Amino acid sequence: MGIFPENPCEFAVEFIKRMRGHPDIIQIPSSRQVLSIPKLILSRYYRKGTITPNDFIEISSLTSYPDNQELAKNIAFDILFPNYHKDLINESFQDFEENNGRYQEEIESEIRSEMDHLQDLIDEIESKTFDSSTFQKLEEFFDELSQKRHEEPFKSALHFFNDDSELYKDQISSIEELLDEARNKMMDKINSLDPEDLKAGHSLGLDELIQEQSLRIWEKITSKAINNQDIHDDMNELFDLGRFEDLIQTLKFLGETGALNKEDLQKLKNYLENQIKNLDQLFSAAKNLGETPTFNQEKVIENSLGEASFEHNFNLANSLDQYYGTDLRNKLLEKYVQELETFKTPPSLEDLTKNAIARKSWNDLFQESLHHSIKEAMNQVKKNEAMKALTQQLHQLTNSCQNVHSSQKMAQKLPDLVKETLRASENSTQLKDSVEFFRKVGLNPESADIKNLGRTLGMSEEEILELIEPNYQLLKKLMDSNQADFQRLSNLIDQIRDQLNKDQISELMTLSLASDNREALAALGHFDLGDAIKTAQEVGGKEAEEKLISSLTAGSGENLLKQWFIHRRNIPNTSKEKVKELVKAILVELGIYYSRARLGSAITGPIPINIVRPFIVGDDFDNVDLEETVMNILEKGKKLNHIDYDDFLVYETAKGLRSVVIELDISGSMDGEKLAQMALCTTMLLYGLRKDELAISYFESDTHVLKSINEEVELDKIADELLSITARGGTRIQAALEWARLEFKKNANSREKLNIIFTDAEIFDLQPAIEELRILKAMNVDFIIICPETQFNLQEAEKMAKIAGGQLLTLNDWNEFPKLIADIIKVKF
Amino acid sequence: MRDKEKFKELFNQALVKDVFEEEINIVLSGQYGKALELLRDAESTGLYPALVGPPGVGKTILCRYFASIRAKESQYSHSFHWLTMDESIKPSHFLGSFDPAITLNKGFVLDAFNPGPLLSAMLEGGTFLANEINRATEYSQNTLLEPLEEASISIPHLGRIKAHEDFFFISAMNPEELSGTHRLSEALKDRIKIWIKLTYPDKSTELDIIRINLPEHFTIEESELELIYSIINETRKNTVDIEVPASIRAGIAMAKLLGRKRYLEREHDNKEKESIYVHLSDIVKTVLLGSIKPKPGVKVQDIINRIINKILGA
Repeated sequence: MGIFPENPCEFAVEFIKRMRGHPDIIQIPSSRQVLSIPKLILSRYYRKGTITPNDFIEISSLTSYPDNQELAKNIAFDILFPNYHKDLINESFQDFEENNGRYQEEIESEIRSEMDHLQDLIDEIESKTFDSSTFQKLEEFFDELSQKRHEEPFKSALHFFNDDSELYKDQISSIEELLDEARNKMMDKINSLDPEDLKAGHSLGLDELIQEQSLRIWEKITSKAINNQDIHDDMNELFDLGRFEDLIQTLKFLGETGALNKEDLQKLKNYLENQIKNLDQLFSAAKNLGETPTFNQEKVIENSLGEASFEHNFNLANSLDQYYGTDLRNKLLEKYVQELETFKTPPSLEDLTKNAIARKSWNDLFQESLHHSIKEAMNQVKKNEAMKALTQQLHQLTNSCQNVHSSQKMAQKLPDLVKETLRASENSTQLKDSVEFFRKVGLNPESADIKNLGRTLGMSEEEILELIEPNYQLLKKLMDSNQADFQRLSNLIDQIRDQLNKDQISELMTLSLASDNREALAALGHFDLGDAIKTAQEVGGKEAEEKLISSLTAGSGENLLKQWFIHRRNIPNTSKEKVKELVKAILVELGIYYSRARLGSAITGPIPINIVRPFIVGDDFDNVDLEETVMNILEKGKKLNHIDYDDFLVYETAKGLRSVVIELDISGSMDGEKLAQMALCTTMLLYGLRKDELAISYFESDTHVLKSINEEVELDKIADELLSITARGGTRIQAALEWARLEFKKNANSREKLNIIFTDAEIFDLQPAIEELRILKAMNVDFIIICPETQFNLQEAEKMAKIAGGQLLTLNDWNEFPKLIADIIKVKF
Repeated sequence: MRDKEKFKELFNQALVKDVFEEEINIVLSGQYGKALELLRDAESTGLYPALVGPPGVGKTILCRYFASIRAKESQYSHSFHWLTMDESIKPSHFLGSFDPAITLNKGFVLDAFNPGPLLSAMLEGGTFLANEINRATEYSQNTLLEPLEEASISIPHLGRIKAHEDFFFISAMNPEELSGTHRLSEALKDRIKIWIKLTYPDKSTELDIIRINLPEHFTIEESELELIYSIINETRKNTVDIEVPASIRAGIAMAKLLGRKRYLEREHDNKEKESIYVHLSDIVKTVLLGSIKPKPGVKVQDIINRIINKILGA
């Protein structure tokens, strides 16, 4: 070792060998890289006249594919400095011996002669100059450094290096070299120096340089202050000019560097009182100084009120109260209440709810805002509707309000608002609608109010009673008299669900069957599918059971689908098939609906393909293949005036097809609702991508293929399979990935290939799975891994995404699953 | 006719005859200085490099600057050709094509051939940049295999040419994980020997880039620049919600918009400057809306609101 810290050829061979054998390698390096490394090292040596270990590390990294570059740096460093972090060396390197022989043979057979030529050049350079003292000096300097690293100027110089490995890489072997390099690094940072940089710069005697070169007034002033120069005039100028942000940064830097003593700094901070004019500036001062300086609260709030919106000001006040212990929100709200007349409209209920605090001032302002909203609603043409909307808004805001006290205060206003809304009813229909609406959203109007208003509006006592008591008796009556629709009955059942027992359900079933009330039967079925079928069977035998099943379509399809996955085990075998048929039809229908609503067209734009045909009228002129056209005309021996439009040849265009292979994890915890969403998503894709190449499988320990790319499937058949799938077993992903790979390899013809895998990434067989991912990447398959947000192994999921060159996405709401998949497909194609 | 004359005059005024005549505003500190050195190393060893980095980190400008240096230093390689790829790029866009009118008269002869940028660069010994190379289809990528491996290329009907010894090829691309890109074919990967990663530059370099891109009359305070950088940097820290964070261009755009607002305030002699926080809240909403790409399922507006809340307090 002399000019070169390692023999470049031997280094390159060793480097590639270790890279190839490393378990984290993403793109296996090619043999050509082994030549590129010594070539570049030699080139750099000829250009600079010297070569450092850092050059070796950098070149090893640069000649590696981007995904491998971090690993390449570590491996190169370990080869050059095997003792630097000996204990950290990966145990897997032990396996390299095994690969070594095979790799040597490969090198020898492929590129030995070019390596020999490079080696001759290296030998020639080494023979001319040999300076064995370089490394001895390096070692000695590092010994000195390790003893004096906490003394000046070593300590300050080292501040500009990330770690000691940078010194190794740059072959810094003397204090002079260290100081020179530290100076260079600090020069690069001027105009973005932090307080610690300034302190280190001062210790290295670089104050003058900073003051000359920096554009930033706070860097200059702080450097002066650290150097005990007078900053009096500079500070006066800053205050006089009112350059608030510069002033704040300067005070921050002066504080953090300790350049001024506490008293002097406090004096300067006290002057800020006249400078802080609004909440923005106060926030900036507090954020930078770590505390709120003295400020004129009255002036700050007064100014802010006119300058920015309520939400803007409140957010600032909130941050300041929360982090710096001020009481600005209260003062701000009081000021708003005081000056309400100045503003045409008070802050909205929404804004106030978002910014709720447990203070009287907030209550007062909220009250004002509510009054204003009521007044506006009562001025509307349909005041009953407007009041209903307002009540619902207040109800929703009450539920979403984060502050318990405010939420309670809001809740206290609801009964009055409900009453006002009922009063706004102009006829019995409006009153009924309002009462039902309120019950539906969980607000129960007072019976006395309903009674009084009902009488005022001329309703019969019976009508009023139904409105007042939505109880079992009422439900029974409605079912018996065949008067209510599915939605109304379902709402009623929901309201009294805790009171309902088995006998009552049985009684309701009997009544509904007797009165042939299909809406009532559907409502009972959607409440608890399994129990409802059993009860119908008990009450009226097979005929009743069939009647119930045939009524189920009255309710929402999605709910029935969920009911199926939740209760399917409880459904008696005699009717299971029939219910399944029904749910299947719903699943198919919903899949088609989702596909139309979310996936859009299944076809991408026209793409030229390598087939030409004669021009026909209407073809795009941009698609004329001039070369083929000219050739065609020449071959035909036509003269110019004999050329006709069909002598022109155009590229054939094809609608761009896409290949999507999807693997969905159904292991362990995939319960009813999740399976329902997966099934929905699957049918959506099967319909939406029916013209594309699509394959779908579910997997746990085994892989269940629902559709291969080249398989024509009937939606019906797949829906049937989907409804029978159950969650079970552990997660074995390799077989699913292998299946996906074979689908792409054997059956896919499209250029765009996308693999989507859904899993919680708690995987039993990660290592073999990684091999599959590498192959998928090599096949140019786009890879997306989706994991449920609350429960997945982030590390393994990230590793999988990285190795496949793909993307990791998370899912936080199961209802969003079909939408997320649709979004991915829309983005990717 | 008069319009045609005017067009000719303007065209000739604006024509860049040689790449080194063009003034290129570039900051060469930090990663850019290193990348330039590496391009020089690559050139001297005949190894073809690729610049890899997210949109807006300065890959193209660096290549133009490198080409201009080559042009100044070499007696041959004055030319710089570049082609930005997408799916519609075909081999003839690289190589050139026959003029149908001349070909009909004279056949497939040299006179009838209009050379493309790659062929021109190969013959002139110039620099060719294949920009966004991983947006091209594999079919088009394959056109590059022969020039990169053998320094030659075959032109249909005319024959095969050897490239001038000064010919140099650079490619630039977005990282693979960004959507909308194809992968490089394994064959092409194997022929690109140096992979220069450019990422968002360090703070001091990025601030310098913003400074040199501000027109002289659009001055902003250093403290305002610091706030702009905090906002841009915040988008890069949030890798959970953001697929493509704000680029240097976004920082330049914010600084320019703020500079313009300040300029107008000065023009109208406004004694009271509007608060930086109010200005920046507006500017951030406008610029970031199109400058960041959220991950599927995340709303860009929510991200922007969070950033404004964190950095500007509101």
